[in-house]
Amino acid sequence: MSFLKNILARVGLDTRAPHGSEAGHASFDVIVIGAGHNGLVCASYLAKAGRRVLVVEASEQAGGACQTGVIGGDTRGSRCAHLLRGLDPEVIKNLGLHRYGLKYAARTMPTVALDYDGAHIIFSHNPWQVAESIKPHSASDAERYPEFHKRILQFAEIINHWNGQTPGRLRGLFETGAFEDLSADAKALQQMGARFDVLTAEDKAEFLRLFVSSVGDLLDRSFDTQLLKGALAFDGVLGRAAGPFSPGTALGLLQQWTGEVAGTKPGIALPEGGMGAVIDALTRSVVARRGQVRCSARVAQILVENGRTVGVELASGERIFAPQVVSGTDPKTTLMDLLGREHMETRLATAVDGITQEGVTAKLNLVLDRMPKIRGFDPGQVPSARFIVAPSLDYIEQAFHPSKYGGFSPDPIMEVVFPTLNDASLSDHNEHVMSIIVQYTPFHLKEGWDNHREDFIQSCVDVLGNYMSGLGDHIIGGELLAPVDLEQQFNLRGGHWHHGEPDLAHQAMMRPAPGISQYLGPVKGLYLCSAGCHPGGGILGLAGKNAAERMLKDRVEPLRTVRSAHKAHHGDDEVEAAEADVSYGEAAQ
Amino acid sequence: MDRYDVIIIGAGINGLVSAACLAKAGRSVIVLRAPGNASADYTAGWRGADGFDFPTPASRLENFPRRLVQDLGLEGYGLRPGAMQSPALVSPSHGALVRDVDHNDMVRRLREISSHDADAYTDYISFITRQKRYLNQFVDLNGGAMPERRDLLPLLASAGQDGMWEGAHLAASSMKEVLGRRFQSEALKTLLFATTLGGYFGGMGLGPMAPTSATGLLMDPCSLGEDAQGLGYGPVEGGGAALLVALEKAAMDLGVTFADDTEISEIVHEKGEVKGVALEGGQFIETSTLIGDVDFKVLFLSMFAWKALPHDFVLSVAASRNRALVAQVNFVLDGLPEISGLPEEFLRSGAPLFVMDDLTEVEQAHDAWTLHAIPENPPVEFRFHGTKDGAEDGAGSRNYATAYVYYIPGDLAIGEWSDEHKIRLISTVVNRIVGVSPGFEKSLIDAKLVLPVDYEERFGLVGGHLFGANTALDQTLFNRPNPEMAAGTMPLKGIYFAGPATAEAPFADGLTGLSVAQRILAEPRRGPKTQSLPVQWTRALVNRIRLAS
Repeated sequence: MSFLKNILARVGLDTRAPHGSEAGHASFDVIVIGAGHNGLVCASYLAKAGRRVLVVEASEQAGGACQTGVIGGDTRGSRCAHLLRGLDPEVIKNLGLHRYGLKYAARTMPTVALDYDGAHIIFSHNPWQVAESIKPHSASDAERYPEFHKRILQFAEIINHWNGQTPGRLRGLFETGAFEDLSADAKALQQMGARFDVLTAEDKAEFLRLFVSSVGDLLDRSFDTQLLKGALAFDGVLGRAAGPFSPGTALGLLQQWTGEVAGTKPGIALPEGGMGAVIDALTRSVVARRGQVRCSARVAQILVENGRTVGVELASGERIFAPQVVSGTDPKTTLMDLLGREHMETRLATAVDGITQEGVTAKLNLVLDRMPKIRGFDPGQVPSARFIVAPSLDYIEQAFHPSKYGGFSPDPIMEVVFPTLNDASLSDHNEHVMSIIVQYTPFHLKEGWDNHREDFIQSCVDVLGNYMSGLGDHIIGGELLAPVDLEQQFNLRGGHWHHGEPDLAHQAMMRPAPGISQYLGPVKGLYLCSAGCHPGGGILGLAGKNAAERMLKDRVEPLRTVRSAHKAHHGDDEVEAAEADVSYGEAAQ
Repeated sequence: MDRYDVIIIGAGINGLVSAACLAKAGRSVIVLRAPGNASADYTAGWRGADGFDFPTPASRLENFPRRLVQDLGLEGYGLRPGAMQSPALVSPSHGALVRDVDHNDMVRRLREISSHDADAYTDYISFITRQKRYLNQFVDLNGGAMPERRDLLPLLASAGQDGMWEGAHLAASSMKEVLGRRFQSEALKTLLFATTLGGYFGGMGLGPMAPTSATGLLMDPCSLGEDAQGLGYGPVEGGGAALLVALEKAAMDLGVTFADDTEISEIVHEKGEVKGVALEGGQFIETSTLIGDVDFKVLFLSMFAWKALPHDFVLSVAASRNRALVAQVNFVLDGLPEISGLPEEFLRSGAPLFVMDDLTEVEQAHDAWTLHAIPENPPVEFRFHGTKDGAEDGAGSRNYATAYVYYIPGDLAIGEWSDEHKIRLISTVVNRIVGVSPGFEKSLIDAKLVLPVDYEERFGLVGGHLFGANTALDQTLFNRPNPEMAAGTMPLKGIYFAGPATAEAPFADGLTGLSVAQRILAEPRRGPKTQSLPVQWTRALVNRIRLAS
């Protein structure tokens, strides 16, 4: 069956009108804006289906927030995202990423909730093991944990199923006003809820309540131990401008737990060679399918003619034409800057304006001359784990408050990984990489970032020093990437890791904004595949996959003429010259 | 042994509405009132230094269904709904702004500040009115059953294609986002936020920057316009007490028995069915239908031999959040304060005056509250009650006012509320008012602080939360106070809950009482039919119970 599909796709490809770009460039079926992981996943799926794909990337290096680079001296590390927590197994399988070189340096990594006295709680995919480490804190919490773990995983499974679906349109769903009259959108919703039906009535009620709950309230209902609640709440707030008591963060916890990596759930893995290895594998999979990836090619504008997308114009002025354009850069940039307000209904433009996109998550990458001693572990016995500093709900809440008003807390919450424990390829001198995510770091610092970087780094190191004695003495290099730096270096608008706040008002049918949640842009032939779309942030690859599936379903209309596009952009004088240049559409008929 | 068709524990608005409605339908009803809750106590809110009774917080009854006023003939019992009032904001940085109840007046007023905001306001009001109409399908002011979870989608569908996503988006958003996107004037944004504080939003326990906080805008009493089905914004003459007195009189005339100063020993049940109530002192009143108009934690955790109730149910009751966030300071003054930027009549009208700077300041107050600390600049709602001439004892005339203070935690992280903390809070409130009314401190004769713990004691509400449980979305509609109880799953047959933590309660006073009565009347009558007791007999019973306790 699948080979038949491929052949048909190829036949379709051959009969399509020849079309391409100016001056000697190959012709393409699809242009993908941005070689982040979602852009590449989308490109790879499309290429696999026989489409001629060109990926254009603004930076010199592909990957966006998912890349390996020098962090100090000649030691390398994952500069931004640093763990795989659910790159969709389907995506890995469909695109053959292991075949194209994706390897794990560590899989089934545990999470260690750091305790000041060394009585750490260690999370893994085995709830009974977790319960053992909770026991010293509270016997009753230890007893309750496995049930909680099972329930959250069960709920996460529903979310997981939902993540792989295109959300229905809110508008389309109720077009007729009668719910019984199921439109395609209603069916999409029904499918999204398919797994929901297997729950007991009681679990259904609880699942729906979790959508509007805060993770803090959920945990207060469930446990007494502060360390346990702090570590679990960390997952609920990670990457979000929300505190543990903000509604919607319980959903954040479920979303983090959807991830399956290397066969375990919730899974955490470390790609060998850093996160850039994921991008390398994806790039290879695109190229192997005859796609092209062009770096240092910043798109300045999405070209629209007669109400349809015809290609892109690069910052260099070069124009590339294709009947479909899909953007892996964030929806706000895509729609407001590259497409332009004039191509949107006022209402949609207002909705896009309403996307909140100011990141609160910084990355601190340190190079250490040796591993620090971690309280509670024998030297040399430090496990390859994800370490969490979030000792209680109130501690997280307190860390959150200053970030709302353009400040940072002297006691931040953090996630720490030492990738070099498993991956020697990152350092040539037996140095260690300490990769730290610092949550609640504002994009706009009231007093400006320039004079406060040192204070910020110092408070992070001080807090970590409580758990890792003498840490300060081992630091020999590193870099701080505050959200402002992430924007500059990785083209992440607002320094937001998820391409837009994943709050309740921007989930599922409302992500990135109501009216454009089906990966379909407001202009024909334009699609969105970024983390700003459902199912959102993290290195999942699902937005790319869902968008590709959507694009493959749509009928592609060949480009006919770009006459009026030229009229609009060059003025009447040049129209005739332009016509002579690019009247390929007519020549084909 | 006495037997009634229905026993009602507690005589708040809902309990009395149930009592009157059931008695009207021919059921024999007895209302058990705890010590301190007898008829005469209704008017005693918080006794001031010179005998003035400061009203309880439930003095704003904008959503008490008009239908009940008519059906029970409450105006015949002296109920006088007040006129709609126009609240105002005084912000130290952004000046004073009145929220005219009359839409055209408000638009004219705004036009002087910003024509953008004047237009945006008209658009906003029609938006909120539209959304409120959808919400009204959930909250039937005629007391119909609340919709269940599975009714949700078809109900939302009736909102049509545009209303649908507007509504979902609004419900998920924060106040600050929604107001910030529409308006330019800080004063207007703050005022529109402030008018929601006394209602549903004030029970949520969220700040204006929290997701879902914008749902509070749907309960903005000033946006109801012609759709309003309740009494409207404005105190009933005599406050909530006047409503209670009118309801009590109506219930008595309909044959309801009142037993005062009763203390419940235990709700007796057998084979999963309610059998009656045992009182302290040994009396037993038999029934097969019992309504609790008390805090649900009190009802289920202290009126039962609770080990007899299903364990999961008890846990679920205990896990509901009821973190209080309102306190009040009652002032006795020897002069009428002048508020900068507002005419004298404004205060005299008794309309609420909000003293707060902007939404950021409010969010900061909420931050402190989350961490169980006293906020530095809590939002304050100032209300003037009236003047008493000092002819009798030679003293000058006295004025009475209350400042409701928001985001005040019930418990402090650092320990008990000490006198020092109380004094600090009072001076914080006084200073806020002095900031907009210079010289206020000179007219001050007395200031008394009422904390959540005092509400707990006075009204029997655990934690002192005036809604009985927080009204955030995870505890609203079919989650209120928890999914089990919202779905009507009660641990026993014949038990009904009509306290403040029901699905209907945050939306309209008295609605729960009506809806419970209708549910009971819809069910086949249980137990042997009994006659209402004659009034004389009732008095004797009351005396007996009193003597015994």
